[in-house]
Amino acid sequence: MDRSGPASAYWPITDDLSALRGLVRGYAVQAGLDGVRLQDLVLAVNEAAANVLDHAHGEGHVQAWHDDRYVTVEVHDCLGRLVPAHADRRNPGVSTLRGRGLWLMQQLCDEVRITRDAKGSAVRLRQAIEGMAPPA
Amino acid sequence: MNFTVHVDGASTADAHPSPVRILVLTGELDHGSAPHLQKVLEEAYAQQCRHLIIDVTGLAFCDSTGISVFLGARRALAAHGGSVALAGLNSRVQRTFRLTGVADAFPTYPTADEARAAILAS
Repeated sequence: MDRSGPASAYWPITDDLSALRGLVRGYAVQAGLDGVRLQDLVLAVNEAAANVLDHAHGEGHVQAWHDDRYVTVEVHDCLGRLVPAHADRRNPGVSTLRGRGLWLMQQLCDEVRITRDAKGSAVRLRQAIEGMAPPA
Repeated sequence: MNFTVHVDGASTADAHPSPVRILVLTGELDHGSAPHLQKVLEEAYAQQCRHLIIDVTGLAFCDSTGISVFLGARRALAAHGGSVALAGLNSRVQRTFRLTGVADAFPTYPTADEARAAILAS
């Protein structure tokens, strides 16, 4: 497969998550992801971006990059309320209606990490590209 | 992709509306389209719908916002002795339900007809 496409990508977050999913899918396919792991990453990015719409006034952006081993997507907000401890969130159970996004991201991706700086918070979602050599 | 909800069993001319209603979902259920489903559900509650069958055969995508709406329907109808069943889960939607930990919250059937038969027999 040709993996010589764009090394990185940047998309603003808008209300149109369907469009964002299409962009992420296209990028990740070109990077070598496919099947369930591709769909899982797309859903995880969707969840992180929906959180930005719900909890960070909808202001944020998505960055993606890849190498031979991983596709990495970072979902940034401009509010910074999300802190690393949120990544340890447990499954809220069926009696709770909302708040499953981060839990779901952790089930979907190889790595979920929350970072925070002066500009806001970011969720880093990383998926290994199958069929590639494992990390050294 | 668009999201549509087709409502089956909602004849307003019927003096005794069916307590079982089927919603056929098509397309992508997400943060943007979930409010539309919520509105249809509230119309169903207002028309004394007790048992809801959500046919997701044509659902290409469902995120946690969509699952929240399903759980809300389950709660609203359970309060009046009703229920929510899901019909026609494809492998993708099934995986999302399972990973979210809500797969066991809903009875599931291969088709809406089978779901309806099971509800009417109970």
